[in-house]
Amino acid sequence: MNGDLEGRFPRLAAHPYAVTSPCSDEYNCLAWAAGDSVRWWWPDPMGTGYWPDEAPRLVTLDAFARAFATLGFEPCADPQLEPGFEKIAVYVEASGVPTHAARQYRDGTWSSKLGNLEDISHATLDSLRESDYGEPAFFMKRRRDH
Amino acid sequence: MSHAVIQRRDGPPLVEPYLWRDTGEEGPRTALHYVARQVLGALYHYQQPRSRHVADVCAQFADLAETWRRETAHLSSTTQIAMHPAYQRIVGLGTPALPLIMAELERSGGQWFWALRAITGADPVRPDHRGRVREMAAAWLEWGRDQGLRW
Repeated sequence: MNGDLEGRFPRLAAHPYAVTSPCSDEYNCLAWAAGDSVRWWWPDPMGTGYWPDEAPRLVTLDAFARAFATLGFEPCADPQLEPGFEKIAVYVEASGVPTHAARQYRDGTWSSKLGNLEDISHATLDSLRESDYGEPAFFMKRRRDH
Repeated sequence: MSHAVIQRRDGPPLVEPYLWRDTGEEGPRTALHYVARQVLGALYHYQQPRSRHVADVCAQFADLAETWRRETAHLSSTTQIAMHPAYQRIVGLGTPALPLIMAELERSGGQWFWALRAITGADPVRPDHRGRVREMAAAWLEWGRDQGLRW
């Protein structure tokens, strides 16, 4: 139980979750989804965040898709577990602007880095809905032996 | 006869403009009287407003920074973080906020880089250090010292 997290993510307590790291402001959700825990990824126009050179520096799903494509991910239809594949889910605001990404564990549960707070494991993508993250709307996958 | 009654009050402001404003009454004016009014006017414009302004900026910054940290701690989107109203108000404080941002960055870290770029127009971070917050903070703190900022 974490009252602060559950206050920020009202649906978190409805499903099992666990805090899996200390707080850190050195990396964010996109970095975590990309397997990077030393940089803050974001395509902000001020150029403060890390972003792959091959992807446009825009906060759009297309730019996110191209950034993760540099790591071998390709778009897929849904977040369902597929043996042998690693998936990521991108959350978007109602306007369609990306806000967050989570990555899937081998057992089908998910892992998210929450801003400069902790990493958590969460049973479903629903756990972070109805928050500032919006809704999971875009999915990508790559082979786990990539 | 026009009189400029000068009174000190407890605490700022030391001099209110109406105390030395010309009343429009006719009467003799000495050179000393004129000079006194000019000096008081200068004090009002250059001394007291500055001290009050500095105190206001410090208090505003502390409140805004605390609100911003509390309300954005869970966000990963630099866009959402920087567009937070409290952060935008800090950017709006302009150059007087720079020493306060530097102190906060040195003490507690955080995504102050957007604000620093917006206020200064500078970009002291090496391209290969983008996203590496420790290195970015070090570059900005060094830049601040090079500019003569003290915090």
